[in-house]
Amino acid sequence: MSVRLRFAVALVATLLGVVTAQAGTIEGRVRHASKPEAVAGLVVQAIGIDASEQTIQRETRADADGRYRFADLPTPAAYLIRARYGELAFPGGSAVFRPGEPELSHTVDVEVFDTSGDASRLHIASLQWVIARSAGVWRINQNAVISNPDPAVVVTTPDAPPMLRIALAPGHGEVETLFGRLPDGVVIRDGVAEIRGPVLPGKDGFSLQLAYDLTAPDAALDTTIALPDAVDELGVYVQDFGIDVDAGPLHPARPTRENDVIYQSFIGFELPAGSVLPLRVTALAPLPVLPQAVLGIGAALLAGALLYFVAGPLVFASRRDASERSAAPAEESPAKAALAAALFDLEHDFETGKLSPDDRDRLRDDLRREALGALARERGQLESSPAPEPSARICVCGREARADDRFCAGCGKAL
Amino acid sequence: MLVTLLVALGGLSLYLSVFFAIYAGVVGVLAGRRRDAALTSSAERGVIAVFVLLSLSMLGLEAALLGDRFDLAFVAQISTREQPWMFKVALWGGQAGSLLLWTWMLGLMSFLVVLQNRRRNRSLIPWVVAVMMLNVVFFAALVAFVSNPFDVLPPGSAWSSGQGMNPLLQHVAMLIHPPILYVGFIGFSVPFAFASAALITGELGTTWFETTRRWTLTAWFFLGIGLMLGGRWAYEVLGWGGYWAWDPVENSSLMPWLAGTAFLHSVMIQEKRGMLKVWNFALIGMAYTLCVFGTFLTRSGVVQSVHSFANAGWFGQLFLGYVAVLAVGYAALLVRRVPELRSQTRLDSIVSREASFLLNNYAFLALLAIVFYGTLFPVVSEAITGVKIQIGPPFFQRYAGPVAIFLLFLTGVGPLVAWRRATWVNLRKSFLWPAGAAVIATVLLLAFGMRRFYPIAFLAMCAFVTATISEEYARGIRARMRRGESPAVAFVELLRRNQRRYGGYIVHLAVILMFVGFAGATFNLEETKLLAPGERWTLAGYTVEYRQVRPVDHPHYAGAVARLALYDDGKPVGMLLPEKRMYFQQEQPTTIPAVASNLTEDFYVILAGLEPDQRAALKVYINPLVNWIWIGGFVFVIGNTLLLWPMGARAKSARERTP
Repeated sequence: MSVRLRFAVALVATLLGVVTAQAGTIEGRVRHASKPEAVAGLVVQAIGIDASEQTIQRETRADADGRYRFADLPTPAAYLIRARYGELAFPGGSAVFRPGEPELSHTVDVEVFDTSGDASRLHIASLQWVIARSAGVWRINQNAVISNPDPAVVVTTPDAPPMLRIALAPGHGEVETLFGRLPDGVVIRDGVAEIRGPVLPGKDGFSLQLAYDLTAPDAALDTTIALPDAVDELGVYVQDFGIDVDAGPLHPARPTRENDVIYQSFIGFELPAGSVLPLRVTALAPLPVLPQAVLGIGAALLAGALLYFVAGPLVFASRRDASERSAAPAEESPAKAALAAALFDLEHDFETGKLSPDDRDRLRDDLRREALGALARERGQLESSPAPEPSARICVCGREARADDRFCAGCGKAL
Repeated sequence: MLVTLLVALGGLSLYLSVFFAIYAGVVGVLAGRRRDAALTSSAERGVIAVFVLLSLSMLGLEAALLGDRFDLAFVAQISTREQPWMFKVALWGGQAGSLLLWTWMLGLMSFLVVLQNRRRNRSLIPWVVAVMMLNVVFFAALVAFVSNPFDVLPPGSAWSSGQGMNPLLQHVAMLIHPPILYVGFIGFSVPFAFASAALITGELGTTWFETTRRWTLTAWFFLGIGLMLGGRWAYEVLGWGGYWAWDPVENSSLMPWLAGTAFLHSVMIQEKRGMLKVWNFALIGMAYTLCVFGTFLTRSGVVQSVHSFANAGWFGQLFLGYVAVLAVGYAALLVRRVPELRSQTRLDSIVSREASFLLNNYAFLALLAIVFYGTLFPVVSEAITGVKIQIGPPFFQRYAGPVAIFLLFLTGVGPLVAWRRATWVNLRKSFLWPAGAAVIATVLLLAFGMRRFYPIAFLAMCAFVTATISEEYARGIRARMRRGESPAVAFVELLRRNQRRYGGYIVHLAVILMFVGFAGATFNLEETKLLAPGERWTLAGYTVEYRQVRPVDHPHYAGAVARLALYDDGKPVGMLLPEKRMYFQQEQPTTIPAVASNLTEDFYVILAGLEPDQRAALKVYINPLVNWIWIGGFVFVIGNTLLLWPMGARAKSARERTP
């Protein structure tokens, strides 16, 4: 607990800037959920650190209602409030007096609990393995959060069996912690971190961070994740430098990015006690790289070949091409086609009873008149248009036709 | 190494395709102006080169996806090492890939147009190539320079696996829906290019639409199937019990389809009577511009917010600029030709098929205007007032409903009326049976206790049109039987000799079946209840018994599945298994509905929530007649297949031989 306190205070202290001396006040209440009278006279401590990293410590006692007050606290500074109850110190919140801030008063409440030796309802809410490769070794960070649903601090004696256990990777190196020592109530024995508390009530009643190295050859890692106790949620994050990961039954999840490093993620839920999960990481073969010269030559060849193909007709234009184009069959006059279709529709409408015989005859006469007019117009255009060049009168079948031919003498197609 | 080679070639080909598309377009313009065969041939070869290059790009990207090249940002975004191959190849799962697919399809269609017209339409082709290549240049440049699927992640950030495709898209309907929709969208570029070429050259006759009739019909057909598949996907995957939400993304596909439908009808008037020339040019221009505009709406982010459009930067602004160039350029060409396009023919009578087609066009345009207004209003309101005012389904239903009823009425009237002029005596005879069917349907619906106007009107109109179609077939078959043909032969001959008319009636029948389904939606029922295991819930004649809930454990997701026993009037129907999933890789929850279907209705249930004590929140939708929409979809496919089946040449020659 003291490690956490120091860490929190140190962190907050870094936020502080220019030093200006003003007095600050922190007040609040100490509470006990089931025994309100137990808070009377409890020792409340304010532990702070100022901008010059000087430690400040104040102590007072709660009144009968649990109220306390610290006046004339040096500022700017950051304080953590805690109350002693029984053998334990219970942390409250923190209060930060920033330079130049008009607010010189903070309220911080502290909740205290009775202790219990019953660890049956404790469980590991989450366990993370964060694995990175650096300087030829694998660095493994394990973070565990223990949840305590009971309204009591769970703690056992050092000689009692551990409440919960976190296994380290086999063959692990020296274990490092945040401030150089393990939290109270944690012992590492035979590659397993044994936890004996105290565990505060709440979803994150206890947390543990461990870090160590593993030596593995050829950038490959073949290890196991052992779970001596059940885990609600297990997350495994492996730094991605081009790897293939086999994480056994864990689900592959969305890759995550932290400090510009990408991690492959795997998660699992409600894993039973005694599970042993394989974890194999192998480096992928590097992607083949095409030499720039090859790429350049390939591009030039492709572009050149296509240019040759595309520009061909301009460079090698021939009469054959032109004659092929002009041999396209003549299209039917739109007016004639429309009139032919209209006559067909007229007959169909009559046959299906939509037109009376009189209407049909009248409309048919109209259409025939229009058709005759269209033919006459077309004939007039043909007569007035200049005679085509004999050389252009070539049918698609290849046979040459006379200038006044309208159909091919060879295949019978319209010219 | 092969994958690396293909990826490198693909990326390179993309840039080269921009160059060759510019070349083909410019040479096409020169060929059109000088009427030079060699230039035309060079432009056509440019189109072939563009198609080859874009195909190499597609091949390169597919190789990257199948070869797990997660060093490409696009592959890392839409794929994972474990993703099934059928979803890996679906490069339309992300923006850059879907734009490449769009560009490739444009290249493919340009190539097919060149092949198809090697000996035809020689004066139009240079301009057709120029317009098609204008489209390709824009999209290829967009893919190459703004949203390139071959972009490589910065060094050191290469992922060994990707994030994977959105799980909602990992559905078989979504596997085919986007490409089908794209065929529809891009297919309209061909008639658009021919219409533009006709306007440029002044060859304003029927050639441009006769040449592109099949293209237009194919594009319209595919757009229609795409819309239906989208609806089916929404119904099966999104878990909200519906198939159409008047969402801007849906509307952006519906708008060109409506313009295309109007065109397919009005072009017949030009064909038969030489009328509505300006109108037809305008409609085909509108259809393609709306296709591109719809893509702009959905891709630029403007639908979500005008601010996201501003944030979209180059992408959105380029797209909007392109839509403006298309619309303004085409409109300018059309306005220049209006004096030459004025029709010499007038309507002979208001009681004629052409008059009913004209009204049908007005109705389609009204429907299009309603959808356009409803889709863009939130964007416009946000741009002007800063507050986004959403327009929901009630707006569309309120205004589109009456127009749809009128359209249904015209669908029935059109076939009964002769071209040019119909006499009242014949009209009375033709209308007797369909009007009787509508009256009988109305009386029956009233007798069964239905009192709401819209469903009665819709279903009565459906009866009216169905009777019309039956009458048309019966009359046609009778007429052929008088020539001594058996009923079966008469039916086949009728279709063969008048493929468009009688194939079109089958498409109308499909629309009617769909409208039966839409009418059923007015009686949809929706209820939610929290049930404990073993508890029963009775609603609308059904009883659901919630048996248990079981965890689901899958490599890529976890969740829960509820086991429900369903009874209909006490008789067991089956076990329903609605599911809720959480996809780890995408950190996305999904709801998998369970459906018990029959022709009358769907019992559609989703697992809305789960309590720690295993009580399940069940949301039930009872959707009457909904399956008729999907049945209509099948009939739509059959009708269009008949329309597109290449029997025209034989039928035409047979028709010409007919005395």
